[in-house]
Amino acid sequence: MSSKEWIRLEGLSKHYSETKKITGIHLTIEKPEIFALCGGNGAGKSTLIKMLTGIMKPTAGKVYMEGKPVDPRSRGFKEHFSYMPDEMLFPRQLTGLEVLTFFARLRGIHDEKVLEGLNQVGLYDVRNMPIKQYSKGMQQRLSLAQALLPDVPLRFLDEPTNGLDPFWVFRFKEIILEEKKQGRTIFFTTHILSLVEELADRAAFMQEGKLHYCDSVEYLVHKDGVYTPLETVFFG
Amino acid sequence: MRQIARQQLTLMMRSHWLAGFGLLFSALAVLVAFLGNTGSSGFDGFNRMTASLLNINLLLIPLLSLLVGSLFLSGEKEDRGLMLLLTYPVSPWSVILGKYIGLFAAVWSVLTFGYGAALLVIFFTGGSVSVSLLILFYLYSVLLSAIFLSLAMLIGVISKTRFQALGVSLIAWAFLVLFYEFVIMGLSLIMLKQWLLPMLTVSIFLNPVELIRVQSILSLDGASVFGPRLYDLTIWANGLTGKILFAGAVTLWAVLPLLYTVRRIKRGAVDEQ
Repeated sequence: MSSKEWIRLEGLSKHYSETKKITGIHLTIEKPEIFALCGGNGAGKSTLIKMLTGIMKPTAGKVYMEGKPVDPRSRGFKEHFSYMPDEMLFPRQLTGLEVLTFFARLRGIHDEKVLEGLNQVGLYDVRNMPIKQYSKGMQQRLSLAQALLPDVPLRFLDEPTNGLDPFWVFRFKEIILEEKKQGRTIFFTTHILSLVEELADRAAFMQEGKLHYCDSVEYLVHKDGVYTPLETVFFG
Repeated sequence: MRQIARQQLTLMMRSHWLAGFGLLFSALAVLVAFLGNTGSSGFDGFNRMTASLLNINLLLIPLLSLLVGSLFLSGEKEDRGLMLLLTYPVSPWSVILGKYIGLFAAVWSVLTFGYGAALLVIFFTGGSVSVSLLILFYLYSVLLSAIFLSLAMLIGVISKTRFQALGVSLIAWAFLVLFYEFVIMGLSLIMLKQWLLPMLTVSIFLNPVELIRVQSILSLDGASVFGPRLYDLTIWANGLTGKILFAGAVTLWAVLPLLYTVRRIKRGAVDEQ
C-alpha cells in the first residue's frame, strides 16, 4: 500500500455477456484528490461506480480500504461516501425541499443544512416548486445537492455535468475544488475531456470494459515532453 | 425506516391514481350499502349486501394493491431513486419495509374511507347490518391489501420497467381473481372423488383471494353457501386448527414475497437494466 493510497480495487470485474463485460479493474483512490474516470458511452464507467457504491455485485475482484478488504454493500463502507447517479429522476409530486429534506434525514442531517445545500446549487428560490416544474439542469443540480449534503470523505459523481448550463458547469468546478480543499476525494465520471484537464488530479480512461490509462493528468498531458491534449493522448 | 415509510405515504397521497381508485371503491361500497338497504332494489338484505361487498373487495383490492405497489416500486427503480436509496447507510430491509408500510398506510386509508362512507349510508338509510360484521369484513379487506401489496413489492422489484410491472400485475390479478377457480373446477372434474376435498382445501391456501373469500364467508356464518358436500371442510375450517392455519397462511403470504424481494435486492435486482 502506497502512502497516499486510500481505496484499492483489485481485479474488479463484472460479466454480463461476452460482449458486455468489465474485466480486471486495478485502481487506487487517494485522499484527498479529484479523480476522473473517462470513456465513451457504454465503456463501463457507470458500472464501475455501481460496483464501488455497492449497487452492483462484482463477478470477481476485491475492494480494499486502508489496506483492509471491505464490502461496498456494508453499512460501514456506505457511511464513507455519497453518490450522485447519472440522470436521476426525482418524484414529480414532491418539491425540491421535500426531496432534499428526505435524503438529509436518512443520514440524520439537520434541516438547516438542507437550505444551505439548496442555496449552494441555486435552487433555494424554487425550493417549494414541485419537481415536475424543474428543468433537467435543475434536477441535476438537486441530485448534486443530495450528494454534497453529507459530511463524508468520498463523493462518487456519475456524469455530474450532464444537462448543466455553462454557468453551472463553472460553479460545479468551483464547488468540486472547494470540496478537495476540505480534504475530500471526488471520484467522477465524464466524457468531457476538457473538464478532466481543468479539474482532475488523476484520470483513467475506460474503453470496452477495460482500463487503458490511469495516471496523473499532469503526467498524461506532458508525457512526451510537450503539452498534448487528453483527447490526443486517449484517441490519437 | 420511518422516514422512508413517511416519504412513500406522502407520494401515494399525492397520486391521482390512488385518489381515483379510492373514489371508485368508495362509490361502489356506498352503492352496495344503499341498494342492500332499500327494499325496491331486488336485494333481500344482509347476505346479499355482504356478498356484493365481498365481491367488490376481492376484485378491486388485489387490483389496487398490485398496481399501486408494483408501479410505484418499478417506477422508482426505473428513475434510479431506489438505486440511490440503497447507497445510503440503510439496510435493504429498512428500504423495502419502509416502502411497504407507506404503501400499506395509503391503501388502508382508502379502504377506511370506503368502509366509513358505506357505514354512513347504512346508518342514514336505517339499515340493519351488524356493525361488528362489517368491521370484520373491513379487517379481511385490510389483510387482503397487506398480502397483495407484498406480492406487488416483489413484482415491482423483478420488473425492469413500469410497463412490465403493469403487465405482470394484471396477469397475476387475472389468474388469482378470475381464472384460478376455473382451474380448480377443471381439476375437480378429472380428480378421484376421495381426493376432491383435500384438493379443494389445499387450493384455498394456495390463493390468497380464496383464503380471504372462504374465511370471510365462514366468519359471517354463511357456510351454507358451500353446500352439504363441503360441510366437513366448513367444520374443520371453523375450528381451532382451521383458524391457526388461516393465520399462518395469511402471515406467509404477506411475509414470503417481502423476504424474497429483499433477497432479490441484495443480489442486485435493482440494477438489472
